[in-house]
Amino acid sequence: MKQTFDVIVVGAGYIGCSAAYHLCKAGLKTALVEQGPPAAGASRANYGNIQIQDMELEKSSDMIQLARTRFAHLEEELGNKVGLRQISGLLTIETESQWKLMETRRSTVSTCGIFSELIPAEHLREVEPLIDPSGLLGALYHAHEGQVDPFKLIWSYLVAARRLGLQEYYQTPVTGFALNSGRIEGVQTSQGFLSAGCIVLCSGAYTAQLGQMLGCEWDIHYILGQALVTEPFDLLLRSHIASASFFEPAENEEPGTVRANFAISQSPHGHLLMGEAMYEAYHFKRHVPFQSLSSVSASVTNYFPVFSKLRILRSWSAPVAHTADSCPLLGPSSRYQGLFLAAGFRSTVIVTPLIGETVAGLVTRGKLEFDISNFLPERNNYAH
Amino acid sequence: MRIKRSSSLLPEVRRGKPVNINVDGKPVEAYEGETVAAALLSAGIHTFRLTQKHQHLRGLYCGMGICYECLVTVNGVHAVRACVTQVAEGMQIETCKELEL
Amino acid sequence: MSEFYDLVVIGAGPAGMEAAITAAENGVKTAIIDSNPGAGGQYYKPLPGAFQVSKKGQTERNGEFLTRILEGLPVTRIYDTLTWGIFKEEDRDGWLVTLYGPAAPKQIHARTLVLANGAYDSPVAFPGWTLPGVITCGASLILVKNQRTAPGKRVLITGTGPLLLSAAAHLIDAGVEVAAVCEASHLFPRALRYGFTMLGHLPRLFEGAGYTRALLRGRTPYKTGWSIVEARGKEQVESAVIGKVDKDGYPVPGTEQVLENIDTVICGYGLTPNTGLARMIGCKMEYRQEKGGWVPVRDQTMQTSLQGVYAAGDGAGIAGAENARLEGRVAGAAAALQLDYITEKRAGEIYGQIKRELMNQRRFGELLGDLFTAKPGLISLAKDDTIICRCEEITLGEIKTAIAEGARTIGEVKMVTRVGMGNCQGRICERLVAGAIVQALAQEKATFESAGAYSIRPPLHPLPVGFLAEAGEEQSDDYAKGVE
Repeated sequence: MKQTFDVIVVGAGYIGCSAAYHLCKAGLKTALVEQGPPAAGASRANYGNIQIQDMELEKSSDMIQLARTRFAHLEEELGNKVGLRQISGLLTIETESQWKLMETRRSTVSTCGIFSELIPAEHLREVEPLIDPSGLLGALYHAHEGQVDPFKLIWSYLVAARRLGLQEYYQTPVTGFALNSGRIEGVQTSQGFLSAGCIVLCSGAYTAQLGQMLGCEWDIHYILGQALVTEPFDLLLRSHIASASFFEPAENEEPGTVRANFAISQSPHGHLLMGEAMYEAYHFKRHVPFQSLSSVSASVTNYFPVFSKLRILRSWSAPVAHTADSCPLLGPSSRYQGLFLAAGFRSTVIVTPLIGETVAGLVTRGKLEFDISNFLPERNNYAH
Repeated sequence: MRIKRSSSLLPEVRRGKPVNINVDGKPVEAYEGETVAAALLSAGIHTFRLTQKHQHLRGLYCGMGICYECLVTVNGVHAVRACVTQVAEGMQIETCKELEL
Repeated sequence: MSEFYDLVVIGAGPAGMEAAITAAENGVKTAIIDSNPGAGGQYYKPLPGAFQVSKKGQTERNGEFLTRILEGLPVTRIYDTLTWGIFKEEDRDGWLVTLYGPAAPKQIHARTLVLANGAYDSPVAFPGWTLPGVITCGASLILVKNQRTAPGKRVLITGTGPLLLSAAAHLIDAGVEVAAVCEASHLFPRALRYGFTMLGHLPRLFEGAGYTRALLRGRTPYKTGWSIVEARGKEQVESAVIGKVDKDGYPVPGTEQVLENIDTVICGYGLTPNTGLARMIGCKMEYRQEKGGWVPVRDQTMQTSLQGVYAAGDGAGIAGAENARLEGRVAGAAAALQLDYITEKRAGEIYGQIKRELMNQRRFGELLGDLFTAKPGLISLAKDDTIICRCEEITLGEIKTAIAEGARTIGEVKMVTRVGMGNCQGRICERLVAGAIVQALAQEKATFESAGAYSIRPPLHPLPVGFLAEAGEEQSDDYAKGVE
């Protein structure tokens, strides 16, 4: 079976669905190819927080500032509610080195137009009444962050894109690429050959695998992250809360070692989302390791003893992409004409609308609104 | 209603000793060996909880701990399945009680 | 330091008990776990210890006999305990089994597993099915037999299969008025086909005849090709509407009758295997309508697609208690063989002894499956404003909207509508949502296979954060290095 498109997007997560929508909107005959169901990878495990998680903010501050503006009219454009609401953000600090890290972060983040405050432990209850700050030095507080319903966001992009003619292929892994004299011509999939002059890889954790098929060694890896969700209760948690350790440079750990970063949020429906235990792995198995469940639960009860009685309803695991320099891979491949990448975003939700637009801009060769030279896919290839 | 008569399929049974339990503040007849669900039904109480979204009335459904419809608060602990929980002396049962942190 | 077992049997019903007995008799170090206070499962559910009964029925006595054998063997019995997770231990080539119970260790280790989790009533959704007073056939039997409690004063029994007769007979004996028994299947002449097979199950025929006598005594109408169509009432069931259904289960308009003064509706539309643990650990599953839905793929030794993991009884496919016992024996022997406690020859002998009876029971199970599996048309009983996901209060209309917007699988419907995200973790609504997909996408030839199933992850039942926070505490230090 052979089908012809103007562009093929590989990966139906946040980035891929947004890209597919914007490409359809630009009038291109678009296919979305996904090896599982929609949002099968990291997007499935996401809390939907519109927050800045980038480490190298100096390089991405333009992108982030622009990204934030794209939420004001999002629901209107998609014709659907995506559960947008404003909440605050707290990065909890346990050590002196984390405190220094957060001081730096406060000034860096202000270059994105975001104002934050370092709050010492004894005052934390003023912004988050339920927290037990006895193990903390304090926290970095952002008053105005946001949250969407992750599933509704992805679904809304898909529904809107379908109206504009998107063709979707689920349970359809890519098995190879068709190349001709340095040009990309299409993808081989489990459902046959799809031809297109442009391919956009929005494949998150699976990007390296696809790269191998092309003989490209892109600097993108993944860790497995787990999260839990509880039964709903009154909307009492005012912020989404993560530990500052999330921004500490990773030490070299043996694959399989579970590192619990603390991250909790209350969804608009009232459920507590709790994460995230992460570990490097060389497999994509979806089971949730026992340690993840207990370590995540322990860190939550440590800071919020009042949540001990909440019952956990579900847990899940997802592969989360990351790059060595913490910047995403965004832009055209220098090796193959027609091939583009948009993967490895640490702050995914916040950039989702913007990156979708940017992908459409890259493919149609329209003007881009921010500089992507820090994000080119092969930027690190010269560093060997 | 407790089955008192004896028949070929259901020979007579003597329940355990009476147990003092309170349901929504009022004493309710109960015997050792009974489940909270059985004691509530015998007392004519069919509504165990209200749903979160629409505040609809719900009661026993599967009777074996699978469906989570028969949830009551027992001794302050929320979301206890009445059908798989045995009555105990001094038990305080509350129906239609929302989770309190 | 947690205890290590050669074999952990999860579920102490007929299948689990037989598996544990067979293994332990052959020297296998065995533990058996059940969430009930004692062994027996649903089929041999013992009366509460505090109740004293004047006379015991045959089933009860059979159950007690089996329990005595189990208790006479060195099997570690862990009751009142939920198995909330099973995790592979790559370095030990075994499994970590995590437990939640007042007197249970937090974890035990197993080299092999027998999953024998039984089954639960398959739900059928119709307007008013969420009202207090609508209960399953299983619930009514537990109340009446185990708790000697009548669910109501005047009941309607609706569904399909011989359990309806059992429920009716017990309720009539208890003094409850049974207004009618509605059997959705069109039984005759199909039942005649199975004449010879039925002869091989005389005890059951006698049981059935006994139940039928009770119905005749009570002058209870037994209507075949009928089903409940709506339950009505304000705070609980007050009346019920019944109507004819065709041989595919579709309601026949214009045949409705109202039964007044009904306070309880008892629904028994077949059984669904409890496959949560099998799915959680990654057993390959297949959809078998006649076995109750998704079941683990097994070979003839009851082994699933995972080495050392066996599944037996109704939890692996509905076929009744006698079949469950025999399958349990096969699984116990297979585990003993795998662990080198018995020879291939001995395992062959054990299997040979029961092979014929197992085939016989399997045929009986197929008979029941053919006659009494809830027909697909019953999904049409639900209207657009009928709740399908009881926990999250999602209606059929909302599900159909998601399908119209492009959802093709249960996972997508879940993503959009939140079905399956409540307390019951999708056990009740899974088949209903799949049925809705199959019906809405009939033109695209959607099947239960294509609709898929919910992913099952630990904890198997909702558990408090505080408990899970401490669940890791009993481990030894070498666990710090990553469990796959």
